[in-house]
Amino acid sequence: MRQSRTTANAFVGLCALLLCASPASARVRKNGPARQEAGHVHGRHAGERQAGERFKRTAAAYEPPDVTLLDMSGARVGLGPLLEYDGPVLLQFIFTTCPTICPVMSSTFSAAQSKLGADAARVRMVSISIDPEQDTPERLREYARKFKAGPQWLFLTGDLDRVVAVQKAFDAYSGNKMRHEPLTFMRAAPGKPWVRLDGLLSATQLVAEYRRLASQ
Amino acid sequence: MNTHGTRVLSLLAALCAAVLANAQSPSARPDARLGERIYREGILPDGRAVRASVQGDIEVEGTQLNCAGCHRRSGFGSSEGAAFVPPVTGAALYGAREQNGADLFRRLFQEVQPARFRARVREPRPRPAYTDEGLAAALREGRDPSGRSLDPLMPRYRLGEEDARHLAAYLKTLSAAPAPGVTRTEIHFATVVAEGVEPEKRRAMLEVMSAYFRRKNAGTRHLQQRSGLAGPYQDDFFAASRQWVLHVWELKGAPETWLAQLDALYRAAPVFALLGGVAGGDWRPMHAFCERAEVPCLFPNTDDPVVSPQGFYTLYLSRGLTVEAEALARHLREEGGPARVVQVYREEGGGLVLARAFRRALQERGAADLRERVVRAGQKLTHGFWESLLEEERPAVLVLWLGGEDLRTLGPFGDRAQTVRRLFASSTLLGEGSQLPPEGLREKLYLTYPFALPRAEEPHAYRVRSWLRSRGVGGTREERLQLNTYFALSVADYALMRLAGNFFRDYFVESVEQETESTTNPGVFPRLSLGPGQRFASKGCYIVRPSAVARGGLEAASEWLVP
Repeated sequence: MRQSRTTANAFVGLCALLLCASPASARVRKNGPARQEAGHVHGRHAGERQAGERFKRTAAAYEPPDVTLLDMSGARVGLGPLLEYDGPVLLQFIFTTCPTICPVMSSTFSAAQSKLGADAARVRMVSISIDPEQDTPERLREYARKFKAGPQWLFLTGDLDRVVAVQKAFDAYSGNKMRHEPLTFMRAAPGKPWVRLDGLLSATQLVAEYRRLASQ
Repeated sequence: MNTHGTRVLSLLAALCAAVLANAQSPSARPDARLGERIYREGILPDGRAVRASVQGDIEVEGTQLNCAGCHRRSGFGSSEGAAFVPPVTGAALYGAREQNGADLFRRLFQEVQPARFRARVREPRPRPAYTDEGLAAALREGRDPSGRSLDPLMPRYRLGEEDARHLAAYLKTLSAAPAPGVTRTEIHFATVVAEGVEPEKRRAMLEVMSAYFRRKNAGTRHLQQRSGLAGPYQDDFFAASRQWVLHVWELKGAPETWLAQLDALYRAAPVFALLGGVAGGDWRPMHAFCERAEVPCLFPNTDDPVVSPQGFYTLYLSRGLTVEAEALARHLREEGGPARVVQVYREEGGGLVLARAFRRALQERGAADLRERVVRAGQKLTHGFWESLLEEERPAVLVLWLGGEDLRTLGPFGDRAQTVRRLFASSTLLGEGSQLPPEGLREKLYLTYPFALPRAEEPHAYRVRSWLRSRGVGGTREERLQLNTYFALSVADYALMRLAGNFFRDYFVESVEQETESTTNPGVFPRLSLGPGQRFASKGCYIVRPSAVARGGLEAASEWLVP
């Protein structure tokens, strides 16, 4: 049997070797800087973690850029006016080939549609694709059908750089779509601060957060 | 009772038992194929979607959330946005949980995930092995054999006893058979070179491959020589490393015979995957082979991939000619205004692919005034051909899906070309360094260009270029091919490293889907990324026009169009 000596140096050496063994070792992890940024985000959004809950609530004043995106019909829409909607807005970042968290996030929106009751008609729900080159308006339509989206639920895609700018404005950019985190944003009315919910929610929790927002 | 009566009774009993067993057997016996459908599509044997609740109170259907979504087709699980999805292969579930050092190292230090994810990975969560009953309880109630509640992200499925047994039978087969092409010390790859490929292309690609394989294997030898020096994970790393062996599969004769040749080559020496590759025409035979034999094919050098229906095992850099034609259709639509479009193409090869895709894309978006002129095989284009076309059709937009040779026959037409506002051609079909059409048309010429625009500096291309030169790989006019080949190899390299010794092909494909976005893009395409189920890494195309002042002689006439 080989003897395994656990010296820190040898371990570091092995790590270095593994990372450099490949000729492509100069590979850029594009999200290097973004990770730092995300670190700050965590610092900034110390927020309140609800007892027994798995999500964290923070209030923030985001300034989303007024960029032009595409809706499900392929029409150009200004994000500025869209978010200036005179009523509550709920917003998520998703992508349609996302395997794990997006289907759950979208299911939460989907279930909330009925749980919101009469309020559902007043609310504007927005899902913005963070993989816009893949998520053409046609693919978004298919996705919306799958999650039984009502007319108040809008799906947006568009130029990648613009979508990145929107994510950055919401402190939601992670540099790599597979690393994106489950976030839901909501605000009560134009000019009011945004509430950031960090983590996956049940439909009841989402609706409770909405009522909390509306009652303030 | 007499013996006769007893015998009759026991016969009757046996008969009844046999009838009963027979009536039950079709449904009672666990069927892995039915389990596969539940796993991959969320569809029960009776055709209904399985129902479940997730996050406590959200009702979902199997079509929205199924096992393969998160645990993936391979069963090895996934990691995304701080969510850690554990493996559910038979080996993982029906054995006690143990840590694989190489896999743990990868998740902790190579996976790009938030701190929460790493905290979860460090938590070993030991549990006893699952039994079939225990698995059914986990699926329905979200409890593992140690009694711990599963994450609320794991749906609680309303599965009947039998459905759970079908699913369990399938999980036991999942990633159970070792993939051909991998031995204890070696992993075998093939690259296809089809007859008719220019020698320069063949050379450019194979030189990059042999340089990469040499360097890779030197690194592996170095790692193996260090055995015994390096701490607790070292055995795991050693077990996961292999010498890379390259087989060059030269295909001869007519493309119709290639599929049979591929089958024979594979039978003679099975490989784990196909890397790169080059063929003059379409990639259909190779695509068909890979889908049938379930062999991954990574980023072949082709302008004519199989676009529809897309496969699982064949992954392409771009949709090639199809994306060019579709981008042009979108460009024309966005410019608006009714205009007569005339497309001219040869009834063969790339021209035919472009013309079909262009026609389909225009028609899908409603009425377009499209006329067509087909050039027969062997037909020479003459001045007369163009004059009569201009006279009869009076096109506003002339789309020429033709090669450089054909384009040289254009003009001069004087006033007759006046109706033509713009002239479009495919940069791919035209080839580089083609002669421009004569004055009067030259100013109207635009090209579809599915690549990154020529830039002053491309740092990643520069780095790859110097890597190649320092290893004796010569310069070539086929530089795109060299850079694309290098990219295919580096993605394969990272994707394999991620498997941590679990050499299963579905898992490899999933790993490629994940690694493509994080691997350095050497700059042939503006962006390269995949995701679950995505099979084309670059998704768009520019419209450019020749320019005397712009770098590379081309300037953008559109934004990056994603049709």
